[in-house]
Amino acid sequence: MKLLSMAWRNVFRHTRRSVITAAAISVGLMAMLAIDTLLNGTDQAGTRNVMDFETGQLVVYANGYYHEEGLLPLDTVITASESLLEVIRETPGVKAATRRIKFPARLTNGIDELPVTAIGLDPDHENEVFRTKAAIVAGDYLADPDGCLIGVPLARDIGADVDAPLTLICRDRNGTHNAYDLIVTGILHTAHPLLDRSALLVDLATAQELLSMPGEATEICVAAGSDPANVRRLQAALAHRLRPGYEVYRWDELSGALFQVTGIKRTCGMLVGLIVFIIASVGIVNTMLMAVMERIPEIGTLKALGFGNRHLVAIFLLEGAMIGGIGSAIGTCLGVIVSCYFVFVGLDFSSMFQGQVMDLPVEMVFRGDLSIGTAVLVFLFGVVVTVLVTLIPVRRAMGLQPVDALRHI
Amino acid sequence: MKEIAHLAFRNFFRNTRRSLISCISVAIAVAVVIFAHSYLKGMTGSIIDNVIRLVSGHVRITTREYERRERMLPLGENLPTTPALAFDAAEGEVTAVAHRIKFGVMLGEGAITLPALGYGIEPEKEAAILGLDRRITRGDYLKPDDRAVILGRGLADRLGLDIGDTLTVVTRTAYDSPAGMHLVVKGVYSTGLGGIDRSVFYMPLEAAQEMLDLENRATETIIILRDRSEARNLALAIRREYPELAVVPYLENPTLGFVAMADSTFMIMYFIIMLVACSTIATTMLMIVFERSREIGMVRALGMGSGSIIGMLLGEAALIGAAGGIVGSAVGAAFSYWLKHRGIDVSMLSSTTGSEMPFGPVIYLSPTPVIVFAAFCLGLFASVLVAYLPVRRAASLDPARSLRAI
Repeated sequence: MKLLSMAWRNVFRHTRRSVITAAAISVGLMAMLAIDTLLNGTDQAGTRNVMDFETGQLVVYANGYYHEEGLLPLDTVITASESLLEVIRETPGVKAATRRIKFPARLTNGIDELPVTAIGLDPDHENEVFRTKAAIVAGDYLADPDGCLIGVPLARDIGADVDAPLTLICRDRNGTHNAYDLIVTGILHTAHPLLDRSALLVDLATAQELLSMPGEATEICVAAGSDPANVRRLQAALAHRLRPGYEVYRWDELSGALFQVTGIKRTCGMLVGLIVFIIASVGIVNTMLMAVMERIPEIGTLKALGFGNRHLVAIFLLEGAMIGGIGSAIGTCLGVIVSCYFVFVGLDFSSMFQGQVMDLPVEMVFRGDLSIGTAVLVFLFGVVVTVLVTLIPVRRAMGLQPVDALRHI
Repeated sequence: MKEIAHLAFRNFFRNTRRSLISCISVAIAVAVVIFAHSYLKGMTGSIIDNVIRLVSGHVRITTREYERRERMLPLGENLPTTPALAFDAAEGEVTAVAHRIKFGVMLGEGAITLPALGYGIEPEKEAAILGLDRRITRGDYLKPDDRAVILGRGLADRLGLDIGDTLTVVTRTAYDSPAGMHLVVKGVYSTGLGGIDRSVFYMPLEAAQEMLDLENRATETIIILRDRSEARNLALAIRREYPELAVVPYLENPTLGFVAMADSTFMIMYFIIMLVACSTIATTMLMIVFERSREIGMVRALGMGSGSIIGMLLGEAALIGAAGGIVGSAVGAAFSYWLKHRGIDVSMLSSTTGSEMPFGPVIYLSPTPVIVFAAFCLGLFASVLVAYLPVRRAASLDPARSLRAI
């Protein structure tokens, strides 16, 4: 108890120095927390976008369909899609399932032509797995076979609004070119830039007819809830049940590019946070070193008065811990405030990347995702590291002989 | 002044081990910065070179409307190829003027359909610009009157096509009527840039003009100069003459917009690395000031001003920084110049990237004397900067109290 009060008093012997050190720790921790929040947020946004609009949690393909990203072969497809859909729906753990056909196509307004990825979807079941309907910002959902949905940027590029006529050009499964006139029934804003920029959603029946694929589909997307363990279990169960004709992929296995990028981003972000924190740690070492050096005579006196090394170490460690604790607390609070800004307002990078299109399923407005667990962890990390680095200078002081130390007076 | 320098120099050797440790941390930081800077320069250099070859030339001329709607590749927005635009060639020592037609198609083979980008090019001129004649891995390069294509390796593999096979291109002409052509696969090229090899094919300009109904016309004109730093001046000169056209020097191409940003961001990172590394000097100087407080009190009592004391101690810090900087520069420069010739294999990365930032499969570092010298100066500056705070303490010591400690 006495040690505690001595340490507390010592913190305020050099108020300015203590404040500077605590501030350094605060800034370091704030940076770490804010960076983590931001990275988490973009990851979450990417994950949500992929699951809500592209894959669901699981995707079933015909065996051999998916061997290279971006290749959409129309000869390795799910032929009896209706009956397979029933089998999948009856599997315990499957919340919903819907069929899709993905195929490359070109979209034209009569003057301009753009490459798109067309998706034939089943309007009745689509929204049991995806959030397509909820993403419509103008016009209506697909109702008749000639309707189509396009994203806001695609609509802008091709100069089409609701009710505008467009023509879809594609090759059917036999390689025959085909054209089909469509009417834009709705405009989408999914927050998934790739989809908004280059996807064309049409009725499954229309796609089947266009591609000469009656009753067929290229994939069945499955909703399986958000618990990753359940999703894995269901993946194994489905794969077992549908063997050998079909393969089951998890959503994260299908978006390799996204996770490659988030991995790199995370490493870079943490590295920056770590560098900032190392600087802060060096500050602590310096402060404690100064404190030890200045108080050599005092240490000698205390030693001569019978204070053991353990007590002396405790005093200095407590002092370090107090500065670290105050700094960490302030840093964590500031970090939470900055994070809240990211969560509620977001960082807009779209002007920085204007014209540049990144092939990522996240928008250039980054929003944070703050977890209380991380905030607590960052606080503890700050305190522990402060105490640990305090040990370095303190060990020096302990080697002193009381007589030598006293001679300094 | 000379005396102060002499004192600083002698002090450097009073605790050789400690000075060496500080030197080493500065040396490592300087070497790392030289390496990182050279690597970044090599990488952006590679991207700039590729963008110039594949997309922008040194100066690219299109119609304004084409530039605005470039994503759609509007064939209706075109320029005459004969006679070539009359601009003052002496303005920037033009070495090549080439015409290209860029068009989007769906290529298909059986049940596989792939979106692809076709280029009509002048094979002979483009040998010096695109340089694809040297990148043919199978078959032959194009001749001007061929009705043939060369395909990227990834594209050929995905379509299952080999030399001698026929590729059917179905598209629309500039006047929006359906058109098509059977083309013989004459060669397969590999640039090592995944996005290009997977989705781009080249055919002779004449065949493309015929197929797309663009007789004697092309969608873009690419200009290559002897000295690319003249690109901006030439672009301005052409703009004056043809205000209705979009004349874009390569650095203003949107694809290269990130280069300037990357440079400034990384300068800040280099400085942070330096500060962290040099904080060991701060600690060293702090210990020195404590150790020598009696000595400092003595010289103060003998009449040395606080400015001189600060000068002496900062001189010592600068000496540590300089010694570390020299060693670091030597190591960093040697390593970077070695990798300038050997290169670093990043084919894993470059094959997966899209066509937005095309960097080659091998990055050759691009160290320059300026990079080395800048890193050295940065190290020296950071050393003195971080030493200043602890050193200032020394000057404020009270001579009487310091002396009492004797």
